[in-house]
Amino acid sequence: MTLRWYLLRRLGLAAVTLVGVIFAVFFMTRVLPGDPASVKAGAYATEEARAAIAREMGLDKPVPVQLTTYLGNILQGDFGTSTRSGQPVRQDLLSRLPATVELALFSLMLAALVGIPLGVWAAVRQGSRVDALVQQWTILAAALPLFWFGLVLIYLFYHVWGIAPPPVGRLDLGIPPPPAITGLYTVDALLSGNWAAFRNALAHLALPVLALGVATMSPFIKVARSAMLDVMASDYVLAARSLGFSEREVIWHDALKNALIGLLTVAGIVLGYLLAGNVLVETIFAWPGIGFYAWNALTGSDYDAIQGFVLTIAIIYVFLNLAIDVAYSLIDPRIRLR
Amino acid sequence: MAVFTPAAPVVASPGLAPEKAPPLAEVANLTVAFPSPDSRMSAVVREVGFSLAPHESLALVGESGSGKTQTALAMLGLTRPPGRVMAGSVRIGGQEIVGASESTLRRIRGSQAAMIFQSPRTALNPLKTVGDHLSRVYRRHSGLDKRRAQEQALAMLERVGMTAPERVLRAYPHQLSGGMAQRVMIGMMLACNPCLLIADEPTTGLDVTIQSQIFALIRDIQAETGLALILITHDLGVVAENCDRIAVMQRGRLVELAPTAALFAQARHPYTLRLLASILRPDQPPQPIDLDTPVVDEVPIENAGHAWRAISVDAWKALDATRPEMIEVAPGHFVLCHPEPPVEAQP
Repeated sequence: MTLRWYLLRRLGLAAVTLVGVIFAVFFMTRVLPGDPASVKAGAYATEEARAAIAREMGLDKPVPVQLTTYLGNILQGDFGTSTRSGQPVRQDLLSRLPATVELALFSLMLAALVGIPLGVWAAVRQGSRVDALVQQWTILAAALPLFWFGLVLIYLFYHVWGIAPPPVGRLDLGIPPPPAITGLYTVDALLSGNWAAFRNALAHLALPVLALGVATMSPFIKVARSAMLDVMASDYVLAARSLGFSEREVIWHDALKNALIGLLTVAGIVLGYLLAGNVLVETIFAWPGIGFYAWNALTGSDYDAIQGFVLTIAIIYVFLNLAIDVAYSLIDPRIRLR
Repeated sequence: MAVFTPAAPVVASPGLAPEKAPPLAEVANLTVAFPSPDSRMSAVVREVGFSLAPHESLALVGESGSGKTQTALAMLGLTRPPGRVMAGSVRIGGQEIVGASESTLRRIRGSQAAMIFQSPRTALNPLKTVGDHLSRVYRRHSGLDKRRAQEQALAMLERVGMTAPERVLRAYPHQLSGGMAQRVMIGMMLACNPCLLIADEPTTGLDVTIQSQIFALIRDIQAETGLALILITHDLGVVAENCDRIAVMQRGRLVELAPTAALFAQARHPYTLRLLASILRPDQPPQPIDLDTPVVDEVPIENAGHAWRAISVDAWKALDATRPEMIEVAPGHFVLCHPEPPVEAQP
């Protein structure tokens, strides 16, 4: 099977999954208790007013008709209108997504760039004190309650030591955001050469990234360690060493790339988790991302916004999985050349 | 498995090759131990000693767990922690291996002595092509550039008898058959140009025709390059046609060492006799296996006539602590003998 066929098949599977998710979201909101029209009309609305709103929202039509309208709207990129902001949900989500993406990418980098070397180090020194310390750290890092850890970071770095900027938003109030190119402030600031904004954006990222990075580090350490141990005990590492290759060469040339395969899965799961909007962290740091938005939508019974959020997350997950499968096939010839 | 006790007296290495050439490899009093569940070190290779002349073929035979592979790994300094070489010496080309630095070991591995393994397909990195494997060896050992290394890799595939070498060069390990993968491993070993090849059950898991092809290839290479061979196997049939001498191992000890013909004709150690009796012969009906009588170890007792008698397992254990020695019963034919047993072990 060629790589092209493999990719086509995966794309087809992704499309099927997305259609399934769209149907699930549609029927779930119909099954859930509560009538969107009465929420939108308010507690003191007359029955006529409620019916008018229901008619306006298309809720009086039969379900198949509603489904067709819904599908048509989704395909045109119309996710409905938020009752809270009065804006189209799509616009709301798109304006908040970059904040979440930036937070997620930096947290993933911290977790992977610290976690993977720690796991590899622990594996190479299996049974040593380093190994024991690293293993204890994975338990501690995974067990830290995220909201508590975030608050402690704010208390220490902002309140006590005054090193961190106030935990509100992505930039200080006086600093205008850099021109929107990617939506990631750090990248945009770099691209436009705005150093003050770059430094400030990094400073604002530091604490939430630290909180999320530590919280998601443990799977990287654990999988890196066990994958590395497996690979180091494998026949081909022994064979390479028996031909005179050094331990270091063997680790870099043979072991790491093989261990990476398992780590790709971890990276995908962690990134999906981070992108799904970290309600707790985004709330604590007043971070204007989609997690914060979803929390507001949930507490305010903002149905279109919730639907839009769920659908966005589903789309992100599907494409993330697709990207990881493609990455797998690029790394592993056993998948590419089956 | 007996518990290793330190401060073992050095047993002189027996079995010097018949010719007077300086030995290529010399193993003396080699003891390798692994931690047992009660965390004491428990020996898996005990006071093993033999030597190997240049161009010679030696077979290391014995049941699974008798210490064959651990002996071989220790010879290349590849004993995997927490295992450790507790005592003894291994010299390859005059260079001591036990306790040598990692950089010394790297110089010896491959260029002096190389090893091929019993599952060739898992001995190749699944993410690298055959060409990557071979050219990497050339770049490391001969310092060739990438293009020259690729050319040499192709030539090597032809030399190890691969049909369609261009295609194999681009193949990944999972696309090879077991026999092809073993040829690739042999090619990698040959690319290092060693004087000694340690082959650890190189044909286990290959079917019989492939097995004889691989041995024919190894014999051809030996004739061409004068490569010495240590062949680890539990297949005595394979040994008979491929090796000059046979070393039999049992429970970590070398129990008999003899020229191939002498061993097949006049084996002395009871374990070797049992091993020989286990070979199926086309001219004799197979012996029914008696599963009811427990196997009692028999050991040769060093007395006037080198006779042996059956003793119980407990007595065997007591005997084992008395430091048996290799006794030369005929020129070049050594048998592990125990000193007179302690009184309580007498039947």
